[in-house]
Amino acid sequence: MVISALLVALLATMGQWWFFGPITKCLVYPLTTGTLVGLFMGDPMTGMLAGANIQLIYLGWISAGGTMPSNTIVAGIFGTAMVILSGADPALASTFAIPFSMLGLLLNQVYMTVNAVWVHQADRLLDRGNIRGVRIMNFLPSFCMAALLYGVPSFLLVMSGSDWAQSLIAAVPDKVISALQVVGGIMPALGIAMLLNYLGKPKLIPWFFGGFFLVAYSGLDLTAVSIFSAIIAIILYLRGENSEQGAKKAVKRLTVDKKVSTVEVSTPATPAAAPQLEYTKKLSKPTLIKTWLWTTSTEACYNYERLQALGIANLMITPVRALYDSPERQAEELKKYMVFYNSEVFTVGPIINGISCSMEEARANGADVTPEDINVARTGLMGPVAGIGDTVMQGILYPILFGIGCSMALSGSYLGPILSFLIFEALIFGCGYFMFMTGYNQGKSSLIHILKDGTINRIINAFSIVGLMVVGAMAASRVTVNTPLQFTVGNGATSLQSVFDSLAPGLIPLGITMLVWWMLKKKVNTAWIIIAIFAIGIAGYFLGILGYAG
Amino acid sequence: MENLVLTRIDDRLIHGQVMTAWIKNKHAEQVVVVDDTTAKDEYMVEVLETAIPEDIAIGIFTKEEGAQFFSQGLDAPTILLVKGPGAILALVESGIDVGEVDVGGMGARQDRSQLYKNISISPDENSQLKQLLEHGLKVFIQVMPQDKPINIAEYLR
Repeated sequence: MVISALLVALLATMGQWWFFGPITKCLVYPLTTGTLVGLFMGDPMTGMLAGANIQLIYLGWISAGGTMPSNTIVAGIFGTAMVILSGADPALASTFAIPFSMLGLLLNQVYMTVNAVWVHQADRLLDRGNIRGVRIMNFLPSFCMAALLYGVPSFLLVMSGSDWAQSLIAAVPDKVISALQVVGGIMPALGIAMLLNYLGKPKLIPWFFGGFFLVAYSGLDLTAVSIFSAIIAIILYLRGENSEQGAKKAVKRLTVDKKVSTVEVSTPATPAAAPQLEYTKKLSKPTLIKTWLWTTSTEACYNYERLQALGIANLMITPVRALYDSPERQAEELKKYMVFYNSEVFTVGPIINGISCSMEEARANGADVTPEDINVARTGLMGPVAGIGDTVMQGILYPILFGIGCSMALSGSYLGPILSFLIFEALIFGCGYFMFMTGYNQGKSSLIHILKDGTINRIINAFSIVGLMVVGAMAASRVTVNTPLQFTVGNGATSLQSVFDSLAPGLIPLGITMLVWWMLKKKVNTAWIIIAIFAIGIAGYFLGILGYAG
Repeated sequence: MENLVLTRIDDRLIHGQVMTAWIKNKHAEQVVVVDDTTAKDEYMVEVLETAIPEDIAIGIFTKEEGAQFFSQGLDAPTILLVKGPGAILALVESGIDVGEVDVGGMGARQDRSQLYKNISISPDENSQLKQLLEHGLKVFIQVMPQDKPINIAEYLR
């Protein structure tokens, strides 16, 4: 028990204390945390199922620029722990998770607010030339805060044992439990509709219906749909690469006299030549690799005031130490990194750290590069880079990955969380390393080269199609409600469901998904949508209109 | 002004929040950046033009060009992005109706102090925001579409 509680507490702490992105960023996803909580509490299957159910609600939610629309860390960890403690049906996981998520938003705010204090402390340490202190400030106090805010409560929750939780569930009438199961059956429609709303450009929407009816009619599982959609996407991607038009990045440029001209910008044939300055101080490959590895801790002391500034200063310690011998100079050079910085820092973002390294190297070799030049480049690029990174990763690739993982998990396969974890790691390490080294080797022009190449747009288009088919397939298989309504015609009872099924299978899940999507389009606040889902599910159950089909 | 769907102060200009949330939320088809330094920086113009989704039209103008652009009205839903209140004030003083002003991102800097959560302003920006209020504009803090807009008047010094 104590060991379980300690492990869960450690997991919850790491869920917020993002000291190593490749792992901690994955703990934002309830599919991962749910499985781990299950493992730690001796019931990995229930944990995985609960985690997958919670994950589905939050599939299409994007946290951009230091905001958090829902605390999926707390939702996943605490929600799963509650399911295991109470012995409830994992389908009820969403009922536990949603209140925890809301409470978690408060915890996140406290964490992000208090962390600003350590940044000021780091400023003072840097003034005194204490570089080691900066590194400690990046990690230690934020760990303590996360342990206090996340670790302690989760420890207490697991230690509190299952008696009270079981009697709590036992005290709830069976009918209410059944009604909440119906709510749990509808809730995935929210995550699915959010993703649909995000990916659904009008001309791509048919792919959603394609995915939906493919599953509704054939009963194919999501893995099969993913494979088919991936093949379609690859064909379209390659076609885009070959055709004249697709290979170039098009820009719709507005002119002052209000005309829109579509300009195609193509990549110059040869990358710009590297600066011809004779460098006496070079950053060695091991130094660069170490610096890239430090980028994983950019969000260790994430805070409202300067967001990732301290993390960036911390990662730049490595190259700055390699370039300058005197500790005073090192501290001086690091100070420019203690300014507001926020970007997507694990996949596309490392390109900016690579560019910083190349500029820092030029500066150390006497080139005319001022600290202002470095910061103008960094602050100019952090926005567009975050825009691309968030769009491709959080908007498209991660939800597809975890959506497929969830479906595999819900059919009882541990491959779901394991595969999504492994691919997630491959993406972070692969893209991150490539971007960092490209940024270092090509300097400021690297980003424009990558953008003009058009690859990113082709990835967005191709994977939007995969995403929409997967989302359609999930709407068909994971929104699990039907109608038990019967009516008498002539001499026998006919169920309404069989009438619907004779029209087309899955009409109720489709209708519910469309309804939630419509609410999102009408800009209804997600909190209200959640309340509406509870109301529809509970009322639907008690009126005998809706039943749980899981 | 018709078709001006969002006027936003955001010193990161185009980034994750704008690209993943606001463009979609406001159904914008055009993004106009009004910022003197950015418009004169060929490199940044190229970065912004290539970073924005292909189906969104983008214009990057100086204050004077921006005033000229907006004086002709807008044909499609447009988001106006600036780095600070100064640019908005310049547009307003050139007679442009910018509508309500959303303060979405003003990061901490040496000359700025914290106003509200991750929004910081300098004394200059404080007085510029006050002038915007005096022009009768509604100015609010709203980082993401789902956040509740917060009236900035109570927080200004």
